Amino acid sequence: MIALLQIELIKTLKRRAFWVSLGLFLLFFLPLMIAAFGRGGSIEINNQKLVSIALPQGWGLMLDLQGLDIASMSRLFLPVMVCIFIGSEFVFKTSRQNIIDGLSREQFFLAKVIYVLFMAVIFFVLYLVLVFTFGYLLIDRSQITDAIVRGVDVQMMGAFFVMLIGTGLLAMLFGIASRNTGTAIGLFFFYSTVVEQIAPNLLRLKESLRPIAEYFNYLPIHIFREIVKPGRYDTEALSAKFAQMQGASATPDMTTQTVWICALVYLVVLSGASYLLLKKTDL
Amino acid sequence: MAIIEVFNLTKVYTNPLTRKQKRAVDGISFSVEQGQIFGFLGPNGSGKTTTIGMLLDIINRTDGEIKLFGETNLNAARKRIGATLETPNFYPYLSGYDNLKIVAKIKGIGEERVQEILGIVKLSSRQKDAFKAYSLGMKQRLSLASAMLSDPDIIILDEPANGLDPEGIREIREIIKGLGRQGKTVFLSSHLLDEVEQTCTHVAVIKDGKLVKQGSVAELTSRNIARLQADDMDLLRTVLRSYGGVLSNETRDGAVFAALGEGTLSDLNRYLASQGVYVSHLSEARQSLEEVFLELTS
Repeated sequence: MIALLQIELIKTLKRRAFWVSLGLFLLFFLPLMIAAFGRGGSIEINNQKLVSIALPQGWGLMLDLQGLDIASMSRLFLPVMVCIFIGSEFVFKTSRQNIIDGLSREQFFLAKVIYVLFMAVIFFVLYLVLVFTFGYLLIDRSQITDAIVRGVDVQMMGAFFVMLIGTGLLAMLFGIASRNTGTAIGLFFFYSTVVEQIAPNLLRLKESLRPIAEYFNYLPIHIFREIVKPGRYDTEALSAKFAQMQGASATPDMTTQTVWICALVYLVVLSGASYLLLKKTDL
Repeated sequence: MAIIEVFNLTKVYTNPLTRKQKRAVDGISFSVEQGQIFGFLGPNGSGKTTTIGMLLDIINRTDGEIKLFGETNLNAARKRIGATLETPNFYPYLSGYDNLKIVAKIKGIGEERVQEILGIVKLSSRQKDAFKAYSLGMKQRLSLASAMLSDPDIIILDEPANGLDPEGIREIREIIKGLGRQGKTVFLSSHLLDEVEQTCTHVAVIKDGKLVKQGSVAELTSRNIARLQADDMDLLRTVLRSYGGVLSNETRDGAVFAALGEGTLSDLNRYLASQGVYVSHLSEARQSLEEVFLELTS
């Protein structure tokens, strides 16, 4: 297990694409956070002044900011990185060489899961560092009533971590199925936009098809987006603040329990599907 | 002791749309004894790489059984094997050293061996360069280094001399012969039949997924062929045709080559003399491996 982690670290940390992707991710958020810091912590989107990113509210706010939040951007960056790294194992034919050198298919699969977990940890740590650094500096110490990290924040963090793993596993499945970096990325975004977003919206246009469209709410990307909505956890404070925003997604349309069960089931299903695909196909 | 045993190995590919099936490997069986340098020969598309792929468990077999070191658990056995398949497969952005470090971690051996093996294949001075910057010859040498890294009991090499210049081919040949001298078992697939003949002790020939011949190189190349010359070559050919022990004969390079079914050169000489033909030259001719291969596969 440790050897597998060490192998994945050698492959990942010495690859320029890894550092470039992380750099772009930070490049996106650092100016946003610095600008918010300059305005006393408030973030404006579409001319709407949002709440302060000061802690503890900052933990939730940065996970649901109309697409400009860390959760949304992680759902963009993390799958791309997973598709690049796992797809290239097949493009370089190193997947077969790893097996020839002595890994079993189970170990190779485990190594890819470790890689997904590693990437999830990286994005999770980035979230913690970014929000904590700027959020802590903005705390109005004279008005501190809550702890910096509340119970609901821990729940949100857990949900965010599950979202990261789930999104990574979905990208892993596309990487293993397509065996190609570009195709995997293309398939992932085709699936997440066309299948999960455009298709149900088209179905909703026709009255008779609306019930079918509702089933699309149970597809993985939607579930992973739902699980991380702060309104599920910080119902009083965050819901009230998010409700000020037009089109805010604070009100959950599915129970939190349902979303968690679906998310955990997807973690198992996506891992199992990837494993079976790897086991059954020739490398 | 047989350390590679293959029984009735079969691979069938099915087109998912037409359901049409293709038998890439069709029930082949062979065994490789410890210490042999075993050449696995066949024309393009004959099923060589598929067979090696099944040996290494990167291609799922449709039927048949494989035993490595007497075990059917190939996962455990693969750690005792060093192998390269088709082109050298490495991470192009990593250095030669880092690529071998990954192999060392998979095989559970120390990093000090990486330096040692890089020295053996003469890549020490370029070990920090990215693999993608290597020439084809250097890539092949790194591939060989990777296969030899764990000092394996079996080394499987698929076209190791591909793209190499004569000097590179000679180096590879010397390395393989050296492995043979160390008592290692080498399983070699190559199109360079001259190289195989010089390097291998045993060969198997595969055609259209079926094994057509297996044996030692000496057995395959020393068919009972007589090379004959006489003052009256027409008479020689005529008399040869009347001799029941000659299966066929052909004339080339100013001599008649006669394939003998039974009997020895002495028997033939006695018969020719009895028919009034006195040969000026009579010797046993040896077929090259290339000739044997072409005869078997054409």
